[in-house]
Amino acid sequence: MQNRPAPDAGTILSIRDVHVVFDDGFEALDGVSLDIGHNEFVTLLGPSGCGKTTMLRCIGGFERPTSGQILYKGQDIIPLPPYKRAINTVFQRYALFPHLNVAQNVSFGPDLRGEDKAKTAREVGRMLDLVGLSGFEKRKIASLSGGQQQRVAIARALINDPDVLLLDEPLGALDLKLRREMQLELKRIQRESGITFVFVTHDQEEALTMSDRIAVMRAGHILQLGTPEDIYNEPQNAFVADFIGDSDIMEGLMLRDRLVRFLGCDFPCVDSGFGENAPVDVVLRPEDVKLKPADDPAADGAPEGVVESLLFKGVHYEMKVRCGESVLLVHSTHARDVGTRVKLAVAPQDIQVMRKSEASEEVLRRHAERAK
Amino acid sequence: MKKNRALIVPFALWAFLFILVPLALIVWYGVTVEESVPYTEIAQADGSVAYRLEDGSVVAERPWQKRTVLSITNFKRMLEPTYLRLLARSLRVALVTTLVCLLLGYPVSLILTGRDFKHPALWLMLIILPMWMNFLLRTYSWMSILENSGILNSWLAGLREAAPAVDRLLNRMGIEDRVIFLYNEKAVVLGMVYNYLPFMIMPIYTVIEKIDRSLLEAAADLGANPVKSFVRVTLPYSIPGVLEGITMVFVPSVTTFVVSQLMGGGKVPLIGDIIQNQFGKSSDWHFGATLSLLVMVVVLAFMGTLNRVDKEDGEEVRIF
Repeated sequence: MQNRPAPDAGTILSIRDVHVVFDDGFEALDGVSLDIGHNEFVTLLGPSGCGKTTMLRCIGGFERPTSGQILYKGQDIIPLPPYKRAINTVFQRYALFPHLNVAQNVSFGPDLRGEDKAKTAREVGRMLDLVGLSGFEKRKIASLSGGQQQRVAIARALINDPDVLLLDEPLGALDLKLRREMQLELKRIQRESGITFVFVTHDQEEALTMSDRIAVMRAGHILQLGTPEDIYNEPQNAFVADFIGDSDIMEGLMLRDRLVRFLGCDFPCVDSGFGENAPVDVVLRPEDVKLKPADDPAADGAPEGVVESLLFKGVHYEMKVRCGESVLLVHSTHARDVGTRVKLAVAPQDIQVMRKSEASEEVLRRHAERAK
Repeated sequence: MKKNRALIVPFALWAFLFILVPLALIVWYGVTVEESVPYTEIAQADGSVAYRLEDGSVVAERPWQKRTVLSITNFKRMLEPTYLRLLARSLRVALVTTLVCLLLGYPVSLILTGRDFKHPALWLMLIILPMWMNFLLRTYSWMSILENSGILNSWLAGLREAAPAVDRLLNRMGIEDRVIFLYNEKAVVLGMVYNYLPFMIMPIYTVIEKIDRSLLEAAADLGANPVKSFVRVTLPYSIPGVLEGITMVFVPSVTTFVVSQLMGGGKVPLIGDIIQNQFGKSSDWHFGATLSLLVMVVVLAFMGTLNRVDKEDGEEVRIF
């Protein structure tokens, strides 16, 4: 796996082969390993049921792994209850105390530790300032909007000065504009406070925007761990490619090194090491598929298709191009009318060839349904 | 909305006939007494006696009619020490019962709502199950356990025979023959606690059960150990249930009469017994109604106080 920091002094949290089997026999986590560095922003990304929240709950102490280790600064914290861990959580629906006002919510941690009231009050002010809620001290929780509640939850966690902050889909309930704002805000807070963030989301765009590294999860496994660029540009299997961004995924045949056949044509590519005539999954990003006029002599031998639909998306047009049995998603700044015959061109470095994985079938089926 | 207003008619009718009318009757009985029609005796010429009524008419037979007149006599009587003492005892028994129910019921509710507690519904049913049996039957069962020749005493006797050490110990404690469990205030409290405990457990259980688990997790996350998390989250959130439980136990306790008659054997009369007596043996409905009004005022005052507690904490407690 790429860019994985060596488990040295830079590692604050080390998750080693963690398994969680629920009472009903469901394997929520099936051997997850992950090292997280100081002041790193790591996102656990995946569809619901992939185990990302369970992973977070294991770190927070609300779920006990069936086996494996969770090392915090080298010490296994699995036996420790949540209240003995120097880790704080921003819960999915914030879990603010409705019987307390904003200031009382934020000061919950310091009050428990019996800290000086005046000092705590100053700290609360500083935290509310940090999250942009100055002057909200006496407000009731019920009178706050979703975004404000979310920021109170962050302030309530941050005031304890944790080394690690866990965030469980904290932006899920917010509208798009507010979510974008909070993404930047969170990233700023993380950079300024020097706290390690472990962030759980199913929103790939959110993950790409905020993270230093992303762990894409499916069915209790980490499928790929890497920087947002790695994950987007070099997905290691069809599932990751499908989950991150829009993509065209189809079956292909690796004829030999650097030559792959899909859509009935042979394409030069940059991948090798698959052997000869190996079945593979081919992933194209919609913006990498170029449309040429059907009579363009430069596109000889390229697959031919017909534009089936055209949508204006602001920056680009989104077209669906039928090419035999398949329908490809194509993004382009040039619109082509529905019914236009085109040829498809893809640069060798834009073709992602990946080995078949257990998720291939499901992903391919979903993409094939687009053609119907 | 307007269309639906018609739906209230059956209940309004019901409330009028079976709540307001009886209440008015009680008030009426409470503020009136029966007295004999006044008359004066008049000696007749033939030596017999005739009776002249207030309206001037003269009848030959001594008037037997009674008439109902407004009077505060019964209120004066109600304030006699005898009755005030009875009321005080009733309040004491009810308060002790409520307190014991709370001390027993709260931990039970807490245990039943515990995260790792298996089959809470089954246990809850076991708690409620005795309520499916007749109230009298349950109380009689306690009597057969506790009475002087009851189950408990016969076990004790057996134990004395089997283990001389126990015998010596009991003798030293001054218990020579049998333990007298029944026919005192403690027995009455026991009977009431047994009968009313489910009414304490149910509302508290319901409220604690509704507390969002994530709030407890958040408290733990912020450093609260289980005790602190209880004090700062569970307790404040369960106050409405506690207040409801207190009402549900206190109000019937303060007005009951069956338990005190059976478990107290008539030695621990409560205000409810006296009221029942007025409508029964003494057949003085007027005084019975006056005493009922007294109890009603006490209960209303109690509930008013509770409501105020609820409201004072309201901002903090009312969450659902």
